[in-house]
Amino acid sequence: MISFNQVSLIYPQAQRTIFNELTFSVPEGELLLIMGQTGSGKSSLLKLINGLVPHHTGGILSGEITVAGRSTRMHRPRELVDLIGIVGQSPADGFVTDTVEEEIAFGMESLGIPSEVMRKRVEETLDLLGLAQLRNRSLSTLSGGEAQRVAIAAVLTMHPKVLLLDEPTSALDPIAAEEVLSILARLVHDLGLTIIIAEHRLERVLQFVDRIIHVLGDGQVRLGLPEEIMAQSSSAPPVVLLGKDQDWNPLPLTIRDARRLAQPLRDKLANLSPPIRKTPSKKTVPLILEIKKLVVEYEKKVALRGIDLEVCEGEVVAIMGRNGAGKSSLLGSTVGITPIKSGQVLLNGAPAAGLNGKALISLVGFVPQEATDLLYGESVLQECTFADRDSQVDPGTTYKILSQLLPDITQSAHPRDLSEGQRLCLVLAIVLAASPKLLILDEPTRGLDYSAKLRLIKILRAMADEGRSVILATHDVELVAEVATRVIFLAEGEKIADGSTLEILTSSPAFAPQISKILAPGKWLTFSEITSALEQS
Amino acid sequence: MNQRSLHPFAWWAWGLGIAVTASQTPGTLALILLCIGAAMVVYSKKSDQPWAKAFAIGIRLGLITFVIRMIFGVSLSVPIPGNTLFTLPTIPLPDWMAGIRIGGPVTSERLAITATEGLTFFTLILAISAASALANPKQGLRALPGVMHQAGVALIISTTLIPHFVTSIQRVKQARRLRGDQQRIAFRKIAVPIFEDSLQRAINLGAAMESRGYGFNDSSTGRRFGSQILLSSVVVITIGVSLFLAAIEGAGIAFGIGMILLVAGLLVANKSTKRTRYRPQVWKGAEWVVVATSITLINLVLFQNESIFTTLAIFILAISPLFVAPKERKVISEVSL
Repeated sequence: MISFNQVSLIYPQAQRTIFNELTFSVPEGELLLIMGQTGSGKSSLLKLINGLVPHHTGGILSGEITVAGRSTRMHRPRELVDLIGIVGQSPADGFVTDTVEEEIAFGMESLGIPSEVMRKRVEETLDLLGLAQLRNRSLSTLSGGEAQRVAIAAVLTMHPKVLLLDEPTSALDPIAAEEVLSILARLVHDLGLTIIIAEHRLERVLQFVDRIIHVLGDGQVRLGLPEEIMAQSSSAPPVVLLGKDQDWNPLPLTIRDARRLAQPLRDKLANLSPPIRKTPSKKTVPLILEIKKLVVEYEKKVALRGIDLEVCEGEVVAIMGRNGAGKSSLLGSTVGITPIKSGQVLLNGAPAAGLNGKALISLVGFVPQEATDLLYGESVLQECTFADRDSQVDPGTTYKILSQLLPDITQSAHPRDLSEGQRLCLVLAIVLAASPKLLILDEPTRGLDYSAKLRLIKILRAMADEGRSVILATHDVELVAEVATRVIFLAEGEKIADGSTLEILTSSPAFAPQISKILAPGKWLTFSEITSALEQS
Repeated sequence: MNQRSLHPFAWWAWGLGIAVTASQTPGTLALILLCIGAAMVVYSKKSDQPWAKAFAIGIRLGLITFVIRMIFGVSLSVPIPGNTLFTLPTIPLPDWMAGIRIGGPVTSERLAITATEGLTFFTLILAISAASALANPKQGLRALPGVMHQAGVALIISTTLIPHFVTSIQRVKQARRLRGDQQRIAFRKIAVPIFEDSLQRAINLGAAMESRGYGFNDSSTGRRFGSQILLSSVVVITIGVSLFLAAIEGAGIAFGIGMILLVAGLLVANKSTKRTRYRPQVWKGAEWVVVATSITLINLVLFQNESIFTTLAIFILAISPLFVAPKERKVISEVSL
């Protein structure tokens, strides 16, 4: 279906070759995963297949890529739409029209498909992706998962043979992600579509894929069966890490496989108890954040209905819940960017909305969902200088923090040209320059690969050890399992659960981390807990 | 849920029919009835889309126009003899402005004439705003010939521009707060990120449209030929207009040739874009009825004398969409909890 022959790619002014003489082919009906570190060229590889690279982005390409016999060299992306559909990283950015139904029909109109055929295909696609309820909705009101499904529907109506998806689940909560992935699996099985996904969240997609392309970052890729690639790769989901550590054979990729092999380990661990996480007690440690009966409303919609929350020093609180549950509104209220209808938000005893400038940032550091939202400088160095001035610290402080997080950063790089992980580090450095007592992160692992995530986990743990507090809103169960001391669940703007990480995560199947699913009923959350417990015994 | 809506061109025909009727000043009662009729149609047929607010804005605009017209009509005009109601102080004007005066006696005749004129303006504005409140502008754009498709898409995209712009500005404002930036607002610091945002969005959208086949079927040679014909038609029509204005013979011929070229250009350009419409707007019985009543309405007011019968007929014709038009389709833009 897809064949790469001696393909090399260089971007102008780039210091390295993105791809060097790739040769491989993908047969029809395969579900292929592209994995690799951030900035290694996963998106470029996807866009090479439909010709957006280099037709739309520029770059020097040598070699030959053909899809169903058609060369991307000779055909522009728009001439390949009947073969290839692509869904970008943030699908909402690619919407052209304004209602679901029109958006789904847009591509077909350009192709000149007769109106009756269009009608039929739209109805079929709406049913296939379960969008019939949403057909008249305005696109701006869709949730992340819905937008993702509409974007997939919009390319499916052109009846492509290949579907390319760039991080289809990173922005989604576990349940919405499951929904999207099962639809993809169905498309492969029922329609024989060839699907290629670039994704960081291996733990979500691994069980669905037939083969993996591992982009190594030095211009080479490795193509193989999931077990082969996982056996060699250092970045792997907890289930694989555990399997490797226990020398399980064959290497398990899914919870089911691992559970079948895990009986001896479960027996061994039955006598051991997981390390107790120190949870600072509210009685002995001063409160840093106090939220009382917080109500937030947007026009007609209630986002938060009377939330109470207390966070004391040294706590790492994870806020979970599906998209649109009010997580971002809650976080925003702590720095006074969410308009409050009623209730109180006290930072160290003072109303958050009244704080400004240095007084605010030395108390609370906020990392928004889109890390770029905090950046307005024109280079990394300029951002650091701004941060030094705003936090009133010695010049160079921010850069020093940044170089600890990211040793190999280019000072003159434009913040937008950094990879997602690098940008997060830059924003963290800016925020940490004022050494805030409370750090707030909204969805920090969206575009992060495993190594960047490990770095983040280290930073957060170090902060908690210093007695500073962290609040993070996230869909990433594994991250929560690693760092959080307490978990809060929001639904429909209400707090529905609040308790220790262990208690909350193990009580819900959808939000349980992989390790706890494998070792249930044992109360284990992370791979590192097990290794340290086994070492001590 | 899937009710069809009246073709936007039919709504415009209806609105124009009322506007033309109003401009012929068919009598105060007829004008009032036209306003009531327009309001009845709008309130029973309008959708909950943003453009439906056009009517409320139209009422306000019409009222302002009416009041201004009354003030000017009473205080500044040529004297009309008749029954003096009250007298305003006169402001003397220089001799060369003889015939106009400010202030002076106000007669009931003048009040009546001014009020009718004001009401005419009011009805005109109301008719246009009623049509724009009812006609779905997006469907209107989609109903344009294929050659205008690109302009239509550009317009639809540009409607999302302002909301994005507002978000960009909020984003920068929030970032400044979150970073504790208390420096004076520098133009560069705000403008550069906003510009970058828009650029990024444009690039993303461009890539998305490209990879979704936008322009898939455009044969560029055909379109170029079409636009060349269109361009020459515009030139010829311009020559025709200049000839007409300069009162030189041959204006009619130039005009005719220009028109033929225009149609030919549209046809050629249209043929070269093989684009189809999803759920094209259909033109059915209801649309014909609305257009026919509008034409009858205009004929009535042009060729019939004013009488209680014509006034009633005007009203009934004006509210004809009430009986034939389907209610505008709903688009859910609010998430219900």
